[in-house]
Amino acid sequence: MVLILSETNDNSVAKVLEWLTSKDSMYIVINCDVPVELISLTLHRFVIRTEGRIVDSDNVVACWFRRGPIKLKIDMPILPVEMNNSAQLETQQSPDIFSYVKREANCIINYIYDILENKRKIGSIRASHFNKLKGLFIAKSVGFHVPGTIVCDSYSKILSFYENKTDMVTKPLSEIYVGFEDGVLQMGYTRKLDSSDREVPTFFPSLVQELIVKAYEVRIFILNDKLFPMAIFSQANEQTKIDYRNYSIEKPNRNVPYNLPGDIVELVYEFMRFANLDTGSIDLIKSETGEYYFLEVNPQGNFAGLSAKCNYHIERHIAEFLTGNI
Amino acid sequence: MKSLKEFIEDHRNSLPLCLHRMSNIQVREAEQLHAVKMGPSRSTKEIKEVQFKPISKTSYTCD
Repeated sequence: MVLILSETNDNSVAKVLEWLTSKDSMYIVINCDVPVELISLTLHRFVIRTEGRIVDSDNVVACWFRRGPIKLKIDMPILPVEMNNSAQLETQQSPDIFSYVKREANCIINYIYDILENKRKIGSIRASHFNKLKGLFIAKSVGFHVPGTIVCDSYSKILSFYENKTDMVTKPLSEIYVGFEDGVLQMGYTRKLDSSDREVPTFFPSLVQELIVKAYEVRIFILNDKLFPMAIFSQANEQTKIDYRNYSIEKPNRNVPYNLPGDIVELVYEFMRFANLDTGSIDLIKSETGEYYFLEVNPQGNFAGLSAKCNYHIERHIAEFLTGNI
Repeated sequence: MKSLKEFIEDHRNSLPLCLHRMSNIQVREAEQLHAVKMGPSRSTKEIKEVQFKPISKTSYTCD
């Protein structure tokens, strides 16, 4: 049986399931937004119930860590009345007890992951939050160009680091912030710094990078030794030239399958090896002067758009790996 | 109650630079973009049916 750790609404998983179905493969999906119940856990085996279905690790031959983490169902009893007599107990002791139970639950979940890591697998729950700075460090170590990078809390430090020479961008260290207000989404994409940023001399420590003037961007989905590269011509559109994720409906970017040069393919393999990743999406920039700059890796990156636009059928490759056909 | 924009304006010195100015996008437009990027969305119910529809002998199978 193939086990997929996902979430309730995931189109990419649905497409992989269709391929698994076409191969008469058995599978079960754990939607990680729905808590699971532990039935038993020994050193070599777990049995859990998810949405009324039983998952026995002895029946799992392959696992895809698409999303996560798994949540363990916790039925905390209401604190007895006599314990609520103390304000101190009510305000301090009960949260501590709950935190303790959550820590116990995390130990259980982590060991479930340890058991699954020994199966044929794609991804790893431990890689789900890959540090952007660590990615840049590894990329530079293996030989990629990387943009000049600093995390700092004042505009004077930015100017000092870049010696007033280059244009700069700021971007999140983690994920893009998405706010919602009055029917409008507010997205914190990568953006270019300008003179108005000097009005705020200090701020929360922020990632600031040298702006690389790009000829085009390259996104690569990696599945073990298979690379699926796509060029994104985002430079001609003012809306997407700094961050192609700031999509334009009226004037969509041109996306095409891309042949990576051999030396860049080798750098990608080296990066994945040092980063200890078997899958992920890497974003590169091809600069106007011809160099490939590494921007970031997302170990749980979305590939549906890339797969469809380039006719790569990545979902089929994933299904074939999970069923042992490749 | 302050809007998010006003809150950010008032607290820029406590917030990372990437939040100081954000792109605004209408929800309807965001849904269109999502469809363009990912293909038509499937409902939770539909995906669950795909995931768990039994096909053969054991409860783990699907068709």
